[in-house]
Amino acid sequence: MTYLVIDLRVKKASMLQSIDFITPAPVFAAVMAAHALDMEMGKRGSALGVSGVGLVHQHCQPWLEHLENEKGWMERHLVQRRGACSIENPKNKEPQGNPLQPDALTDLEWTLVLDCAADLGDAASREIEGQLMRMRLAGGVIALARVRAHSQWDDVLQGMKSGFWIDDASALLEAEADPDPFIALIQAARSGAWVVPVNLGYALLEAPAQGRSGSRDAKPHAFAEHMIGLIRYTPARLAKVGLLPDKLWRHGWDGDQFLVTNRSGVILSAAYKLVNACASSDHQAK
Amino acid sequence: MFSDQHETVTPSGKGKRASEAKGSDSQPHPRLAVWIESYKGHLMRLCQSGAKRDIVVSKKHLAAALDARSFCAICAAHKPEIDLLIKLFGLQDWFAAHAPQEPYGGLESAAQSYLGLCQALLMEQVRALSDEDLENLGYSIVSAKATHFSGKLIHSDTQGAGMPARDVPSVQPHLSSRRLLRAGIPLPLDQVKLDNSGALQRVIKVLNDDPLVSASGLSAREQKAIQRGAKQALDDASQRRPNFVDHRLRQLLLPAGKGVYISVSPLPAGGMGVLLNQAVQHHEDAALAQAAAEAKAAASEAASEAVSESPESPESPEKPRRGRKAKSDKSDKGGATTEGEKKKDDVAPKYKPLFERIEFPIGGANPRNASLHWTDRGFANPLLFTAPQRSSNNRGVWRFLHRPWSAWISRDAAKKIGAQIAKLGQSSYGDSGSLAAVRVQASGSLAEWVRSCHGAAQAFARALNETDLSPSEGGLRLLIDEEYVMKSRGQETLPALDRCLLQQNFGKEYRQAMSDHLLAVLRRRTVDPSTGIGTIESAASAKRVSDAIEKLLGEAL
Repeated sequence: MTYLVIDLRVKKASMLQSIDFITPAPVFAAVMAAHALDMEMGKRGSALGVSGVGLVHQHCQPWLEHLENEKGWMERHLVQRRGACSIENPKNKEPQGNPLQPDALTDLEWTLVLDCAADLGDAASREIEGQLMRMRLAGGVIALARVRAHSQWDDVLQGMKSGFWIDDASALLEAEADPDPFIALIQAARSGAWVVPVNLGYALLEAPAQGRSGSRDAKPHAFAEHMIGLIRYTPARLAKVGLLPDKLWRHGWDGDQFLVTNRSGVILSAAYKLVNACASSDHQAK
Repeated sequence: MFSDQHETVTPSGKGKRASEAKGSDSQPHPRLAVWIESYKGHLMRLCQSGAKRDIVVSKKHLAAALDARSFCAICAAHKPEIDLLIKLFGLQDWFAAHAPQEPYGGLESAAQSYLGLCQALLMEQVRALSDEDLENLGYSIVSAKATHFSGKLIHSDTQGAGMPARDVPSVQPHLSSRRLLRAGIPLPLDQVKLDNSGALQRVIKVLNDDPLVSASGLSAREQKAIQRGAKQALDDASQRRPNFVDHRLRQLLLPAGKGVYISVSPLPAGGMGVLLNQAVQHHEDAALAQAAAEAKAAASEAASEAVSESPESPESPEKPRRGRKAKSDKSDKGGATTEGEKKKDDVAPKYKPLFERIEFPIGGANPRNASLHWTDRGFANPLLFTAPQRSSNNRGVWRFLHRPWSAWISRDAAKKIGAQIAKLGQSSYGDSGSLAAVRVQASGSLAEWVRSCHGAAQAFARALNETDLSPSEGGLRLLIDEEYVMKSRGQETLPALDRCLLQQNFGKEYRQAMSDHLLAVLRRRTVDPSTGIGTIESAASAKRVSDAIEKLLGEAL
C-alpha cells in the first residue's frame, strides 16, 4: 500500500474539452494517464495497482497570444500551429498548403496523488519518473516529473501545501428549479466558487463494432459523444482538512457511458459487456 | 483545416442557373438597372428575406436575369415562403422555366398578385405529389444529409462519421445528448455533408413546425407526411453502422475489463453549440436588462442633482473597450460622438459578455463544410474558462533566504496609529491594560494595519511553498524548509515568526511572534524624529498595544 505523489510539469497539453468548451484542465486525460502508467509498469512486472487518483492543480499557462484586430484593439487568440506533414495531399510541398488543425494548448503544473496497492520504495519512484518522462499527458510533453512515495495518507496531506484540489462538481448540473442543464451550467460557472466545465467521460453512440477498418490496434470501435461535467477548484490547504483516500478519482462504466469521477455514490463497473460488439460490420447499412 | 473543398459552394442553391448565366455572358443584362429601378418600390421590397424581413435581394443574384420575367422570378424566389417551396421540393429549374409573366407597372397590388400567383403555381406542383411521395422526399433528404454528431467538425474532410443521438436518457448529470433527452430539449440536427440545395434546412423547418411552413401554403397533412418520412429516416439512421474510421478522427482506448480495451472516437455535435449559445445569450441579456434598469434609476437620480450644475461638463475619456488600444491615432475618429448620443450611452450600459469566447477556427476558410450551424455565434467560438495561475513572489522569497520577513507600514499609517495610541493614553483609560482598553485599542487604523500585515504574511507563506527554487538542481519544487534557510542565512536559529511562516503555522506561536514583531515595527516607526520620543514609551501601553494586536490576530483566524 503506497501513495505516490507525482509533481508533473507538462508542456503543450490540450485544453480543448469539446468544441464548445476550452478549459486548461485535462482531468479525463490525467486520470487515464495514471491507468496507462500502471499498465506500462505492469509490462515490466512491477504493476502499481492504481485504485484512485488525486488531482492537485498548481499552475497553468494557456497558449494565448494577443493580436491586433482590424480596428486596432488587442484581442486574445489561441496559438495555432500548422501541421508538419500533409495528410491531405502528399504531393504538396508547400508548408503553407498544409492543413491547419486548430488546437488549444496549455502548459500545466499538476500534482497527481496515486493510491497504489503495490509497496513501492524510492527505487521504484525513480523508475516511475523514467517511465513518466516517456509518456504524454493530454497530448502534452511531460517535461519534468518528480515522484515521492509515502506509506501513510497523513504524509501525503502534510506535503500538500499549495495548489488547488480538484473535485467533481457535476452534481451542480442537476438544478432543482430548472431542468435545463445549460442554465445550470451557466449558473454554476457564475457562482462564487471556482467551477469550470470539463469533459468527464464519453457516452457511446453505438455498440462497439468488431473489425471496423482503421480502428486503433484493431480493437472494437465505437463512435461516442462527450459528457461535459463540472469541476471545482478548492485551495489545497482548505481541501486537505478531513480529506480521505476515498475522495480520489476513479474511472469505470455506467452502462455504456465511461466516466471519471470522485463523487461518492456513483457506482462504476470496471468492465463493459461487449454483448453486441461481435455484431460484425457485415451489418452495415447504406 | 484550410483544405480544398469537396463540395462546391454556390450561393443559396441556385448554382446551376447562375453558372449558366455566367457561361452565356458574364456581363449583366444592360437593362438590369432599369428593372431594379422599376421593381424596387414594391416587388423587391415584398421579397426581402431574413428573420426580420430586411435583407434585400442581392445584386449578385439579380445579375443572372436574362429578361424582365426572369428578373421577377429571381426576386420572387427570395421571398421566404416561395423560397421554402422551391428548395424543399427542388423546383429551382422548374420555377425558372415556368415563372409567370412579370407584373405590369408600379402598383403594389400587381406585385402582390404576382407573388400569389407564383406561390399558387408552386403549390399546384406540390399538390400533385402523393403522401407517399412526400414521405419519400423527407426520408431521402434526411437520410442522406442529416445527423446529430459529425466528424466534419473535427476535420471537414472526414468521411462517413455521422451518428444520430441515442434515444436512451441518462441518469448522469453531465451535459450530453442523453441528458438533453431527459430534460426534454431536442438537439438541433446537423449535416453529415454539405447541403448545397438547401433542402435539409427546409425539412428541419418542417420538423420544427416553423410558422413559415404554414405560411407557404403546405397543409397540415402534407407537413405530417414529410415529418413522418424524416423521422423514419432518423430512426433508420441509428441502425447505420459505418464500416471504417476516418484517419482524421482521434481514437481513445478505454479499458473495458481486464486487458480488454474499446477504441472510441468522440464526435462533436454542432447543435450543442447552438443550444449553449442560446442559454448564454439569454443569461447575458437578462444581466444587461438588469444593469440597464439600475443605470436608469441611478441616472434619473443624478439628473435631478445635475440640473444646478453647468451644462458643459468636461469631456470624459472614452471608456476602455475590450483589450488594450494599440493605435492611438484611431481613437480620435471614434471620439466624435454628439452630445445627445453620449447622454444615451451613459444611460444604457454597453453589452458586456459575461463569458469569454475565443475563436477556434473549425472548418477553416470554409466553415459551411463543417456544420449547418456555421452562422451561429456559438459555432467555432467556444467558451474559454481559466484555471488558477500562480503569482510567485520570487523576489520576496529570495530576500527571505538572507533576511527575516518583516512587516511594512506606510508613513501615513504609522502617523495615524501613533495618534490613535496617544489619544487613548490621554483619555480616561490612561495607561490601563484592562480588557476594555485593549478592546478600544484593537480598532480603527491599528486593526486595519494588523489585518493587512496578517494577509501579507499568509500570502508570503503561500509563496514560500509555491516557489520553485531551482529546477536545474534535479527536480521540481525544491521545498524551502528551515534547514535550507538557516544554511543560506548562515545562522543556527531562525526567528520564531520565520519558523511559523515556513511551517504555515498560524496558531498561538504565530500570534505571539507576529504581535512581538508588529509591536517592534510600530515602536520604531512612531518615534517623533524631532524630539526622539516615541509614542509607545511606557511598558503598560506597549503591553496594551501588543494585547490588542494579538486579539486582532486571534479574530482573523
